[in-house]
Amino acid sequence: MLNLDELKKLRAGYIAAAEQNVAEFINTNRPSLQQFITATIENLEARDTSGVKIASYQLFSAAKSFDRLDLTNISEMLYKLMGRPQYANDENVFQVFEMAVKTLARSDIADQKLEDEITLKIYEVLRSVPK
Amino acid sequence: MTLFIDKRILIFDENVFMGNLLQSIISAFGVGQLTVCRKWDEAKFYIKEIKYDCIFCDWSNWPDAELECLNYVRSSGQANDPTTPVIIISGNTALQNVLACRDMGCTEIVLKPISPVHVFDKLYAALFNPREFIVLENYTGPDRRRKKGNYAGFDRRSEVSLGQSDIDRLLGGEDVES
Repeated sequence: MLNLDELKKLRAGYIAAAEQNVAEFINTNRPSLQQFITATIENLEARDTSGVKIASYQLFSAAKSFDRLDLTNISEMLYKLMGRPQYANDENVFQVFEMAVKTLARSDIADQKLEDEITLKIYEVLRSVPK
Repeated sequence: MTLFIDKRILIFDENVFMGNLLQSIISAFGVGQLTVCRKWDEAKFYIKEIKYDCIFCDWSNWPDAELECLNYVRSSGQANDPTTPVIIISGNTALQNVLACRDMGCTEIVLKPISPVHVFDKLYAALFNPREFIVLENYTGPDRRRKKGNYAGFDRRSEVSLGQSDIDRLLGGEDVES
């Protein structure tokens, strides 16, 4: 039976090894992020609510592993909104998220300032959607 | 010392990228046997045939979708071991979704985006700090109360108070006045 100190040491070792594995996995799977971004944009362009929901959820799930917290946050908002009828079929919502994902996709790294600007624009649109 | 060397774990995730990402995390923990399934039929086959120590199952569907894997393990009568810990991976953080998972008998929930720390802690809790397994008419799964009460006072629930009609029925007697 392990005592607490032994367990903490073991846990730290396992987590460090797992983080190393994740880093290697991400390095060899960089194109996957682009695939998730492309799928989200294509579904936004097609105004396909169900497709956007699935693609943005996958983007949300994966983006943080690529250190793209900006894409994580925007795609989290997007997939959650696609589950709410008043937003899921609103043309302005589709437009602002299409702009948002396309803009963030141009960068290779997370850009906090750009994300903040985009988030403000999204909130403006969301406030204008009839309840 | 390896914690998980004798453990057998199944990952079911239809998304190849996410399944591989989770596999890269869990394999670092030195798990004895790790099976990754992309298709539900394949996962179902393994869950039926093999006794796993823990099952990771992605829930990327939506509130109206059934948690088929969790249902299958807990309630179908087909799973090799219905008491197997099931850890749900999900980004559905709305309260009703979390409650739905809990009430269907999930052991732990790891929220997306996943991280090694969360995966380790939930796996460790599921395997080494298991809660009592409950089988009721409308619920099968680990005890949903995580905290054990530390109440030192008189436990009124230990004594069931009966009404007059209950007592009469139990004693099989008739009302005196009837």
